[in-house]
Amino acid sequence: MGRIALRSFAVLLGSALVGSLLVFGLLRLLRGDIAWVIAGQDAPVEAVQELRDELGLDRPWFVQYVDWLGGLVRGDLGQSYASGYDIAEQIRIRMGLTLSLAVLSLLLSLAFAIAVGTYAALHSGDGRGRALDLTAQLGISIPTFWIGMLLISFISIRMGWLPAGGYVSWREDPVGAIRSLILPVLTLSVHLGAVLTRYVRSAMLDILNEDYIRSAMAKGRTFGSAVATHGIRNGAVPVLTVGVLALGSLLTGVAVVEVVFSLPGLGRMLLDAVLSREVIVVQSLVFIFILMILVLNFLMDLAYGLLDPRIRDKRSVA
Amino acid sequence: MLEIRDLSVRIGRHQVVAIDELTLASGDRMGLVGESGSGKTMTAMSIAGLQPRTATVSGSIRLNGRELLGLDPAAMAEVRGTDLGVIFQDPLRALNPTMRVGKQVGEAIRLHQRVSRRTAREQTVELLTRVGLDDAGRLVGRYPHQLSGGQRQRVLIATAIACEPILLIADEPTTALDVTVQQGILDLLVELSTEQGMGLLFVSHDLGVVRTVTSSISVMYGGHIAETGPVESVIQQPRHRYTEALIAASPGRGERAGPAQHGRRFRVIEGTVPPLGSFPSGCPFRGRCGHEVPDCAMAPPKTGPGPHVFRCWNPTAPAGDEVDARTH
Repeated sequence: MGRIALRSFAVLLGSALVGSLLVFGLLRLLRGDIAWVIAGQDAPVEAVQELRDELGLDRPWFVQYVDWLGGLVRGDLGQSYASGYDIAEQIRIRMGLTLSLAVLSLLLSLAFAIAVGTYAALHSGDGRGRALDLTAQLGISIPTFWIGMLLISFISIRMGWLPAGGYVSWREDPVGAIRSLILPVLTLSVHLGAVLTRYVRSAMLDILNEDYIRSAMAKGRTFGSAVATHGIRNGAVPVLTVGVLALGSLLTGVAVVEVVFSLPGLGRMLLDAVLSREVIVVQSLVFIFILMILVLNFLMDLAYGLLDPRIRDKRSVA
Repeated sequence: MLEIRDLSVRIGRHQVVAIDELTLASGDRMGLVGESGSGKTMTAMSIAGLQPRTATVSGSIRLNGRELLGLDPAAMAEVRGTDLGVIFQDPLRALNPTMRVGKQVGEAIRLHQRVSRRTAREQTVELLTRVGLDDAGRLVGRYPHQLSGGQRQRVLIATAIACEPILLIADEPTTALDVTVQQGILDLLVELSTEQGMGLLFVSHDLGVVRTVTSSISVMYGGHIAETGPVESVIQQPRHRYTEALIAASPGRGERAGPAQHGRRFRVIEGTVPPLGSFPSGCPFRGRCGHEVPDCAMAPPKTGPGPHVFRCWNPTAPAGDEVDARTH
């Protein structure tokens, strides 16, 4: 297991390096002078030159790249041109919120999907199963921002139960933090939960017919108890695969939700940076998003080995 | 000990099993033999309440006098694993790939006995040693894919006998195994049955194998019992035309079965087993049998002296009797 973890970690590092090169390279392939883009087209020539000197944009590209990479490692990414904030510090502050959103909705969706998907599989023949299937289909089709707006208008504005937006940090007020996260997490979980439910359902349908379920019954379990004790772990493997694939769209969803609920997370920061043409901020943020996906991917990779001993054995032989 | 009366198993509109009577005395070993689609596995699974969820079972199945049909799922689950053990055809698929072998055996113990994890583990090691696995202490920590086919089937047998059942149902337990390990498993089943006085219902398509394991045999075709009786009597002097054809078609060990087959090539049974629900009325073997008489369009009566009974309108001549037994 240790060797597998090490190998997965090496893959993570390699992918991160390629990712950073891509982000850095793509932004430099854009037409035009980065200093001009940041300063704006009608900025005086002296100001642009000053910015160019400050950012070191005259240096060869690989010097700039290594400098940026070093900054990422040291946690020093310079300052925002338009707003003057410290980029690395802002990322640190906002990271907690974005990760909370992503991880909480992933967990909620998974828990929901396992419970409902298993139930739907057990009742696949009758009306209950079909009704759940239809509901899941609906959940997949509704756009995330629309669900967010519906929840705000109904639960926050009409009922006044939960705040419509804004965020209190965990350290200041844990209850307030939870209250401000409930609606955004719910919003994110509708789509992801519905997607995962359908996969859990089909994975469980396969498992219900497995011989080892019958063996567990032969030992003295009822069908339901055999599925609960022997089915879920086996069903988790294919569902995890879908979970990995869903990570990208989850982070996109996080960015949308941060805007809808005006939460000060990384998605919101990225949108603001794009709108004010802060190329350097965009570059670092996009890389941070890539890194988050890679790390979550790495964790799921480890989970595979923990869930299925056959995968563990195959990998350590290979 | 096991008494089956008027057992009917239906899947949708089709009746796949129709057995009027089948009994197994305490500690006896019976072979349930037939081709694929004969209903033998469906019969065995119905006894354990493990039939497919789409099947409906009716009639009466009594184990030590207790009616099993109509028990609620929890009560039936309690019967399985205590009074009734089951082992299956494909031991790799019958074991959970993500659970250690020891835990899967221990599960059978802990479901029915209030013992600690540790006691269950000790009992598991004992059980595994009992079924002939060396180094059981190490095996308990392995996963199924790390074991050989024979070891896996022994693990399943250990699971099935964990609570000393009075009846063990073995559904083609050696079919998926290498020829070299088959005999060991068969010997083990006979040994356990003898030592514990445990009844054995041995489901197989292989007459030769059944002959070495069981004392009586029931031949199934089209969901019906064609012929039943002591194993030597049925194999030496088959009366039903289907049994006769089955023995003639058996290669290898089966070939030794019928004295008439010595030195001859085995013969195939004409045609194929009809698909579900399309067996002819009357005798189900009608159409594939070479000895048909007009009466075959009606359900054949139960015939024969003593324990050896069969259902055939035109049976083979009994030993020492040259007369056609048409007018039985």
